[in-house]
Amino acid sequence: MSAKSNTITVANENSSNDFGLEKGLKTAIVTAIDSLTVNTDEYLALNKYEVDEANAHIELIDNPSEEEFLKLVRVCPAALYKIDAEGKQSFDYAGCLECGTCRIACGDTIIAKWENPQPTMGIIYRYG
Amino acid sequence: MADFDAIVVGSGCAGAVAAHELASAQKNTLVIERGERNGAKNMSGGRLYTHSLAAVFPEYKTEAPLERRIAHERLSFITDDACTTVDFSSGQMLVPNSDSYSVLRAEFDEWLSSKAESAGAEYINGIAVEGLLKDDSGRVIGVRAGDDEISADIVILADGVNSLLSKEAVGFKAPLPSTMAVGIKQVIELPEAVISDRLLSQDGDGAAWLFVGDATHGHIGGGFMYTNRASISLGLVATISDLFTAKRPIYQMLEDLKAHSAVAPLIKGGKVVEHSGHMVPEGGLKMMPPLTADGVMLAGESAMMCINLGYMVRGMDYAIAAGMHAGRAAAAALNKGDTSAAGLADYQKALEDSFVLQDLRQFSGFPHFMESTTRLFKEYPQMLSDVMNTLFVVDGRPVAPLKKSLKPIVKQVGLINMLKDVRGGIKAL
Repeated sequence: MSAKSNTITVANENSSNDFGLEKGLKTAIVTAIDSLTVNTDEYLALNKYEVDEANAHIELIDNPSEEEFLKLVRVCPAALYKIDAEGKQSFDYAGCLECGTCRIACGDTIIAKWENPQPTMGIIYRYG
Repeated sequence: MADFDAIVVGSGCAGAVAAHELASAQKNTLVIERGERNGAKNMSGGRLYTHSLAAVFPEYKTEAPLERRIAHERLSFITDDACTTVDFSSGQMLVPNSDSYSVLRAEFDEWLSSKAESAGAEYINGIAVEGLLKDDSGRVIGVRAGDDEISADIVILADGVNSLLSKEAVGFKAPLPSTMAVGIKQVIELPEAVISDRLLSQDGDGAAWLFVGDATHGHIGGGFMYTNRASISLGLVATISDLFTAKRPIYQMLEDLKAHSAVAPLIKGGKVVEHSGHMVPEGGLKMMPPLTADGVMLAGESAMMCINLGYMVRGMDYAIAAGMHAGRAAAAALNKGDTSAAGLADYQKALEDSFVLQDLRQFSGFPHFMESTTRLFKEYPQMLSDVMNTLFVVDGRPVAPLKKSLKPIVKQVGLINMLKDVRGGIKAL
């Protein structure tokens, strides 16, 4: 899955650890969040999407604060918001489940735009 | 003259039923659903109480794509390595129209929309309504979708929990993260017979199971499991603001729950076929928007009609009933030629007279109780596990008198705190 986003670049399709974090690193990120055993991208790959490569339906502000970004790392059920051990943030709208949780969590802070995807685009639930 | 008598935005439980009622009353009705298939954008935990469906579609038992009848209610308090469970079954919960079924929304919503279509409702699929048309007085007179402007005498917003239109319609500000939960779910495929065996269920029957405690690693929320015919819906619901301080993201919590000793054997050998997310309103009556304004009504989750009591989550039966009342009130208002807020007042009244607003009022104190009683998610599951270990673990050491063994366990939480919490819980229910 790749997508053009005018906010932040997309990374780590093959990573087995969403954040590439290792226990014991003494960075603020590591203290904030445990290391992970799950690769949510593998689950998203089971979903059916019509990805709109041309339009990001969610956009973040430039240089979002780490504190706010970490909220999204924790609440997004699709793990679209990622941060690595160096604090580098990444976001990819392509696997969005369209739940709106990020809009509720950070709609007043770092989410600059939240729209429904363009016609016929986005998630297509086959089970629901 | 308007293009349609009524436009319904969204074809979930509330929207499809409202459209069915309007079309059945010979109203010229258009449903605009952003999913290319009805249900394609929807997800729910998965259990529907049938009573409100029966009120609209008495023939549902033979027609609706229901998965399994829920014959076991299970509630577990779990720690990282323990699980204390209440398992309840009864004849009463199986009585037709007092019973409940697991459902999968892609198929279920498709069926509901087929009912609206056979009643005569027209459908546009695959396009989201982007905005509302208003006249100079601020009255809603239609919708904007793509390049089209379509007018109607009444617009019913049934566009779900993440409604991007309710602000424009009735001035509803985005809810606070403390009043909303995020739901995450996986559908895990397993052979039908294996599910029946693992859940001790007869053919066609199954279980609803909620997990409190370590499912959310002590945060406000819980895990859920519903048996479908040939799959298991397993997920978590957790209050958004409380997750802000969590050490693990919600998707890692779900992965941890799947590995828990109480859950892993249930899904062993199963294949994840879908990973989904959906928000759950948790603020009850206090967070609900106004249900009408001139030319517009809200029904279902767009109006935050949902309760989460920890041992029970309900939303779909409220949405179906609200859709029914909205459709009927809209048809009556169209007949009178008055679809102003005053002309739509019967909708509010019908909901007040029904279980919908009476339940939401009854449980309006519960969200605060859950939020302020964090012991439910950490201390109590641990206490139960300690008590059970004292009762059931035999290691050959001489057994101390029960009272003596239990005292330090209870002391951890404190008797007064326990009494306070029990009292608070009873009051909130």
